[in-house]
Amino acid sequence: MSGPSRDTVRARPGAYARARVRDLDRALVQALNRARALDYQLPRARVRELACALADDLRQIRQLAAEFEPAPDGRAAELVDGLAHRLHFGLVDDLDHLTRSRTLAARLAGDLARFRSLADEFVEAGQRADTGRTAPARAAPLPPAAATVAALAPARMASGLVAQAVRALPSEHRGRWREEFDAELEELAGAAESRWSQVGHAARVTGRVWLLRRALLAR
Amino acid sequence: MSGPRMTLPTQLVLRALIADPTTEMYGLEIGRLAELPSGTIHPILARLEGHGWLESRWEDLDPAREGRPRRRYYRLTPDGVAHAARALDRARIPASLVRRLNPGPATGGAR
Repeated sequence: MSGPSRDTVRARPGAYARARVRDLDRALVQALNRARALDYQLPRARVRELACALADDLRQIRQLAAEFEPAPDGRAAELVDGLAHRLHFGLVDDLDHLTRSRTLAARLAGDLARFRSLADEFVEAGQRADTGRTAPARAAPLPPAAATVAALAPARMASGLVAQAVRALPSEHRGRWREEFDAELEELAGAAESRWSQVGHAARVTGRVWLLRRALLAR
Repeated sequence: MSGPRMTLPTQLVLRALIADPTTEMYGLEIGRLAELPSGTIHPILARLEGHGWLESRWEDLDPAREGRPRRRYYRLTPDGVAHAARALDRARIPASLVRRLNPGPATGGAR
């Protein structure tokens, strides 16, 4: 098999992978910022189409993380997995804000295409680094994109619940507690807690929000 | 100045916080350590913060860059450590709960 020597492979894949992760991360931020900036609501069908495309990106990046596991640089695999999580939940949070302008939506699609291209590079890097295998191990098949999108919906329900809950708080405290509750939901989702577990968490937050309100007013 | 009411959940939260008063923890962590159901501790944290026993700060990150909201980190203030230690000394908590919170040998931590 042609390619770099074992020592070179051991030395390079981590740095290479991290560079690719940084590229992916930058592209992710760009895509998310673009999604947030869009001004006019697209037809529902277009939103669904975008959601499926985003879910496909997620699927691909998760596969990347799985494929990179055998590489010598475990840290890189960890970074990719973290990135996949951020992509997953960041995009889900943004679905409500998607998107108002077809032009900007097209740019967003371009960003996502760039993700794919970077992801491909990353797969190759992972395969090169995988010195112990001759063929890349394919990750187990993931659910179809539409199913992935559907599975994310309840987390949005939880987010909607806490959004309603904070409205019961004094206005000057709402921003802080909304962000704190959102961070908790993000953490639960990142820990692969079930959708109903997230909704349960949100329901408990909601059920006690009047106690929180009383505590805040007593200051 | 009167402190917060020493309900059992409040005691559990304080015990979780005082176990390592210098370490900052976010709400979910505190809830897990206190073994309280998720989503139930925010009023307690707000009350303790209102009494000056707790201080909090935002996680130092850019949410746009990281793609997730910031966590809110809490820890006891120096006064809070002293108040909490005294309050927990006075409060009664079932021994079984104390054992559950501190399964290892007693360290004698806060007096």
